Amino acid sequence: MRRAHQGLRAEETPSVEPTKKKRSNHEESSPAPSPNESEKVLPTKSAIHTLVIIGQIEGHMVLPAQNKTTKYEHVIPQLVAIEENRDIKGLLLVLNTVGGDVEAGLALAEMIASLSKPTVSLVLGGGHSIGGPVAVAADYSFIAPTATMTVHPIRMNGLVIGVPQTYEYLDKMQDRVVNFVTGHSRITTEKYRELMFRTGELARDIGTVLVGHDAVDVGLIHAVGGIEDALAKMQELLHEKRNARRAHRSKKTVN
Amino acid sequence: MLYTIYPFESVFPQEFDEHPFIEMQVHGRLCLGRRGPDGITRLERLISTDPVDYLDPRFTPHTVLGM
Repeated sequence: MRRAHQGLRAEETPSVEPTKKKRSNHEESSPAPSPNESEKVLPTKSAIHTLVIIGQIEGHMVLPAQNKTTKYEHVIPQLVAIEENRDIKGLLLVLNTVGGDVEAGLALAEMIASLSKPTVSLVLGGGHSIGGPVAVAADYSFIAPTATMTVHPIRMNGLVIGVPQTYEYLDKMQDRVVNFVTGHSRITTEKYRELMFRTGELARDIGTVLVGHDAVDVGLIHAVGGIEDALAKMQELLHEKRNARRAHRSKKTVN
Repeated sequence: MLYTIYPFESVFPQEFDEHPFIEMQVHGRLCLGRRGPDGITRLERLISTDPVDYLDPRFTPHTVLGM
């Protein structure tokens, strides 16, 4: 396997301190310091965090550098931190992915689905292959009108041993994806499998490309929308959660 | 096992990249940098879930991180 940037974890962490010092010197010498662009006070934290799932979802195998990737070792600790941090109220997922590793994709999807905080996903550009389970893992999902989701069968690359067990293994992997998607969206198993094995839609493959509204019509995604809709939905979910907590508290006091 | 719309040959091309990404902490945030052919390391990507971090000009793509 090829080099990985993980393997090159920079001990030589470049310091940007000199630049910083220069700025502060400049400020000290100037009588009326005009706020430097980089010194402007930014809000320290956002209550809604955003996880961007881009390119290939990278799993156990480190992909060559020209692939833009989302790595589970980056994302899983972030999800843990989001769950744990009291200041973070919700998670917005933005997807533009071509798919990737089945196990890493399902791991992310399971993590997102099991977060106690409200989650909203927005598919922009593409949410293909294993991107599907990640998109439906959120409490509520949106797709941009021009975004696409490709549903197709899982394939095997490289050396394949031609025995019945290989087929069974492949089928089990596929079942994991199908079960997750059907368990977290309104689409039925029959419909999802029908889309997966449909012929005549893709030029060199079997499967279906769902564009914007199509994904909503088949029950995979909740609604067509953009960032405004996604954030409005997030506020709505937060409001519902607050009300539920209040109702629970008042019930406790009555008892 | 890969489940992607990209063909295997696109994911695993023959050529090797001589300038791989390097993970590094910059101002307390996880970032990916890349040392260019000129020997200068520049910021390629910020990895953070806090959208406020992306408004910080210190994390502008291609910011010089070190020689």
